[in-house]
Amino acid sequence: MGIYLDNAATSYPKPQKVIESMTNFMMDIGATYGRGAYETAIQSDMLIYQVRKGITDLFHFNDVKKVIFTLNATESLNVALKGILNKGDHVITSSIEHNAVWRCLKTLERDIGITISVVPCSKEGFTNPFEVENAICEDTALVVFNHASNVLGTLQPIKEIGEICRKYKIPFLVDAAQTAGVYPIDVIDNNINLLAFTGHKGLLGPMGTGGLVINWKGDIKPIKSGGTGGDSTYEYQPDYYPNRLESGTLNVPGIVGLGEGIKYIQKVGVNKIYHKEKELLEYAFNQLHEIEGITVYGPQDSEKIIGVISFNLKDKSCDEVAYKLGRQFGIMIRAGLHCAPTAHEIIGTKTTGTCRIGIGYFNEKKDIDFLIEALQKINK
Amino acid sequence: MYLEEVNVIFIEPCTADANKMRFKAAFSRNISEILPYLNAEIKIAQYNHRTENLTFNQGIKIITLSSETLSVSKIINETDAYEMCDYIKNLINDIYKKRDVIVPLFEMRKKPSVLDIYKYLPKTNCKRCGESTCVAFASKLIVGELQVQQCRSIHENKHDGKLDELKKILNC
Repeated sequence: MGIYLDNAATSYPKPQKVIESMTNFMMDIGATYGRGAYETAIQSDMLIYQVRKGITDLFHFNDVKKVIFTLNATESLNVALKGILNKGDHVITSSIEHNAVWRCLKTLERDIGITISVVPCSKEGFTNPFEVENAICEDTALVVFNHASNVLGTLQPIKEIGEICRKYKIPFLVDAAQTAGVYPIDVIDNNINLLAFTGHKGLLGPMGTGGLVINWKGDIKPIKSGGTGGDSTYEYQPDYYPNRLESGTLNVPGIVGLGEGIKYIQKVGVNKIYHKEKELLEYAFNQLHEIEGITVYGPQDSEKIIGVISFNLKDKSCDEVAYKLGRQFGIMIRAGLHCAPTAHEIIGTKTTGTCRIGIGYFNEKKDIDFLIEALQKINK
Repeated sequence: MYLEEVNVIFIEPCTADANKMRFKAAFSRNISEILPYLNAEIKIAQYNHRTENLTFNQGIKIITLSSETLSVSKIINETDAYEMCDYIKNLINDIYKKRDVIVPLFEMRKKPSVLDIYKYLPKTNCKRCGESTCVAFASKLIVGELQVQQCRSIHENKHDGKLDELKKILNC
């Protein structure tokens, strides 16, 4: 096993209990959720409920029924964007969105005729909340922002943007793909109406899990229709939650694993996780600056970002650096545009891409030391 | 903690009418000693001390507690069932903690009549609830077919005191 520094893509390793809980579920229970009266089906129902409850506790929310399970943050964002926006609606978003938001918005712009305002940001990725307020118009139906950039790590002023949205009664959708589990999130205090999260990154669960927390009374048209386990003679999707937005059999073993990931986080504490990653970031910044010819992008301030650092080495392509780190040193990082071309436009790397390290709770300072040593060797 | 768990043992899914979903759950201990205290605190409860059985409404839901089990009808889905288990568990534990300051009630309370409900309604027969008279509204309110929120008149300021009284009677 080498050194894993790609936690912004997916977290690794997972807590042992995450793996055991999924194996135990598949061996000992194995029943679907919401569709049976036998004992193991009821156990399955209870496990799903407990994970929904764990999510409400983690995000300081209060309505268990309004936690929807999806495959990942991308699906959650699609559920929200396509379920809320109609022809003629105006949307405000940031300049550094992941394609999970950006492609979805561009598709809606082309296919149903929404309009998009992209709020400018600094080269470090900071958005001034007043720019959001300036962009609001009569047709503004939604504001959607990532909580932290997956390229620069920059945290957005979510609470302030949420306050503006509340003032104008515009729903506020937050993409927490990079922050859920590693940075404190309070849905109510941060004025978040819709929170899209993935299970396999900071929440330490398996891939194929994610969700949407709905702190909003407006209607979300379901993008999927199908069986929900109850009310079967009714020919349309039910209007009650979570069933309205959950059709078909849920990924119960995955969700059970996600539940254990959340339990692990709650046991350790989100603040402790955040501070450990912050310490590693500070250490990494200091070490990276020792490397000749390195360009580090973004704020380079551990107070203002989550565990993501993008960089390039002079006269070397990011792909070459990532390849050599992997093949010669067993160090796993990500290279390229990271599915966020607009963020690379901001830092001027749209044609070259960047190397990106994603720090996780299970990384240690020695992992950074190995990386620095390897980068110095590649640089020679 | 007095009551550790409320575990669902039966749930009826996939029914034709979502309002008719129901479930049964088992308490992790016998709670018969706490039933008279619940009866004292839940003003709309119907309690039979001999059979150790207590029933009350919460909105459209009909909740029945015995010494060993909880039965709830008219829930909308599984999440609703487990939320209800949590609610009942917390309710029982709260009542247990406060039992020294509660006077237990062993008698069966007189069930509120349609007239008891009607006297707090606006009596304007405004029909905004969809019923032709306030009496008709009261008769459906008492069995949980309608909700107090559907009476728009009572929510107007001049009826504020009556709304509070009605909510107390209906435990909502």
